[in-house]
Amino acid sequence: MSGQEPVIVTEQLQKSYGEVEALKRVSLTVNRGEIFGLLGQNGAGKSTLIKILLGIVRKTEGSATLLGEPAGRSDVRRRVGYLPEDHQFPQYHTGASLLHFYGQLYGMSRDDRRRKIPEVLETVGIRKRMDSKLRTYSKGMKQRLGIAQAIFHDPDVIFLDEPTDGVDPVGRKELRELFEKLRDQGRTLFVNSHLLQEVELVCTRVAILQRGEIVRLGTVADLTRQEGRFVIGLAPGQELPADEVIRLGYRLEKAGAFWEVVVNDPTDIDRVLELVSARGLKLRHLVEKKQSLEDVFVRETDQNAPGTDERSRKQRGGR
Amino acid sequence: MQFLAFLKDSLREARNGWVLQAMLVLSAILVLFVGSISFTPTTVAEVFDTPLSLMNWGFRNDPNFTGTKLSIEHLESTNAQEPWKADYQFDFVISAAKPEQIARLEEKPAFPANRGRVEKFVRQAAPFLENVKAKLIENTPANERRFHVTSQGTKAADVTAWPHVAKVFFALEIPLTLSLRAGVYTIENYIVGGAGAWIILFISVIMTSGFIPNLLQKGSVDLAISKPISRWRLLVYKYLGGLSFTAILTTFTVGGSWLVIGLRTGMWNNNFLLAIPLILAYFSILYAVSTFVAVFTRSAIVAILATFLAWGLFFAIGRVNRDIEKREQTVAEQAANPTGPGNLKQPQNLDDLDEVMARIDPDAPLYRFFPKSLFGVAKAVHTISPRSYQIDLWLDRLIAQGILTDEELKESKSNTSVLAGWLEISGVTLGFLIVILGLACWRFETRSY
Repeated sequence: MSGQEPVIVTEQLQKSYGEVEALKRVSLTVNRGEIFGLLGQNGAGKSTLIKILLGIVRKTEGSATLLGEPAGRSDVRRRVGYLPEDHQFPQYHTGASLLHFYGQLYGMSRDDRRRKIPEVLETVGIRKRMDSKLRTYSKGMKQRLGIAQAIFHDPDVIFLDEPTDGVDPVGRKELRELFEKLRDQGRTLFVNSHLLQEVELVCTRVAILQRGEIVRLGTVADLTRQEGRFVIGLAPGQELPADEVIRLGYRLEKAGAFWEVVVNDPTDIDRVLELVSARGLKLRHLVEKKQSLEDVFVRETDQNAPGTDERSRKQRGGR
Repeated sequence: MQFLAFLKDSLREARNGWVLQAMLVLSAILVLFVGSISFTPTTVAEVFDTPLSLMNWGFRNDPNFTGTKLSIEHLESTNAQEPWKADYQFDFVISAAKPEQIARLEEKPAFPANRGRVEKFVRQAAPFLENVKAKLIENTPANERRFHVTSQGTKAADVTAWPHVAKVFFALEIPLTLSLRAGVYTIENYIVGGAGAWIILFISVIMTSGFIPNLLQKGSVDLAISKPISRWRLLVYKYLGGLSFTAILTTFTVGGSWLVIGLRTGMWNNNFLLAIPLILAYFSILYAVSTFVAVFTRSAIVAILATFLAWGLFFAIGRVNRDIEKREQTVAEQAANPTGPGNLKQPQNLDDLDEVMARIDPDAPLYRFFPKSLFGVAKAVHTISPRSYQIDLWLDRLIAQGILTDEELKESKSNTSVLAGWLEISGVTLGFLIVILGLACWRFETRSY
């Protein structure tokens, strides 16, 4: 990874559709060699952000640059690959002819195309069907083809909107490996996804977008860390002296056979352990608790109506 | 490279669903039909067959003339191999059951029962014969009149001007005698350049109407715009891709017809090949409208309906403007050389009728309902409208000029229309295309998808 060379930069980026604000002053930087994950519920503005960067949607205010150039310039797009969500490839193409068509648009020579098309289709696992009409492709195959068309011209930046949508678990694992391989080649991946586990496994940094605003931004480790929360388990039949722990100034929650202790500083757990030892209790289980990305995401968005980026009626004070 | 990619993609799109192939098969059928038409030089006897048969049929159905019959006998030619170079002589015979039937026929003023009327009849039935003379043969039976008819030379300079009998589907004879030139002109102008071109345009409008909406549908437009090509280029290339579809159809149909007509008749009217660019120019206007509407609505159905509406509108604007110009020409002529009411010609069609009306009353409404006060508005609208109607007229004229003689051109009236010059036609049409495609590109450029 090359580190800190910014390839995607947005500053105070805004997009409005009439009175609806799809993006509200979004500022973020993605560096070369990163796999950056953008999370958010439906309608949060994830696709809008990518589309502005690609020039598909016009921004209302703010600035956006891609590879050092103003976003949307057609010559920059030569170095960019894009897999849109719900893409519709022309059904009259075969996998190979579609890539030939797109390759011509990228200015690739016929020899290059002939060489690279089987290679890239092999990479995404659909080479055997390269001469079949797209209308005969399954959803997963179309998705793999979508990824193939996004990467086969060796772009520096690759935008993937729901890249594993419709792909089976084995295929998802293969794609994760592919993304990591691309990252190792120094390419930058910008991934929109609902599949939080996928993002957690593959992304270096993540942003959570809610109602057009970035509410969390950081590495996966940063976002999932829960400092000072420990899970304690004692020998069967033993009870943690809850009153005494609380008197020490810590929070305590019973979680099944275990206790979750929330301390002010991670080192404070030593005082709890001393108390356990002093009471002659036998420690069987001690883990510093981490939260999953899903936990973080759900906590950030749980005030919204299910499946949307709108505030629930309750939150809005509705009846 | 990008342009070629789009052309290829458009053809692939047109091939999808076999519509292009079906259209090419239809075109091939039209070319085969044209190729099935043959022309055989007619004989003088055959020329008289139809009018005599009609008149004899009339006698058979009239009780007053039962047994009466007209016929040509003792026909002789001085050059059987090249009938257009021959002198002819024959007997024109009226035979009746009773002498009084002959007398009654002689009383009918239009019936060819005396020398002068026989000559007139022969000139009408065989207008290509020169120096037609008829002479009554004496001493024939009382129930018969016999005229000896001679002709010296013909008006036909060569075989192409000589009347021919046409057969379609290789065998079916058409009861119509035309010169070879007129026959070829009819095929080129009416069958291919007329009906064929309209079918090509009609199908092309429907076929290509989906190209732009397909490009603009969600999931597809994102992909297209994300490629390294500017939006206006994307749209213009798609437009040209649609034109290429029609170019193929038109070239196949017109080129194929030109080839088979040439092979069948030996007449190679190169002007007919100009139908290819002219039909394409006509379609470029229609497809620009379709593209414009599609960019705004993203609907193929709306694009089709709007295009047909514009097609009719442009035709009407062109037609009204032509008739206004003819009216002004007639009024100017009348002012310079007044034609008195007694010398006005008998109207044969609506054009003639309007000419007569204009000579009587220069302020009379066009078509009896279009007031003169609106002439200025109609001309102003025409000024900025694409010249599809004029392109159509030019197609007719060019085909005619490539094959007909000056005299035949006058008869066909192909040379009499008021036609705008090429500079005006191409200038205004190109201006229209630039404006309407420019607006479409502007919309496409500024819209978020």
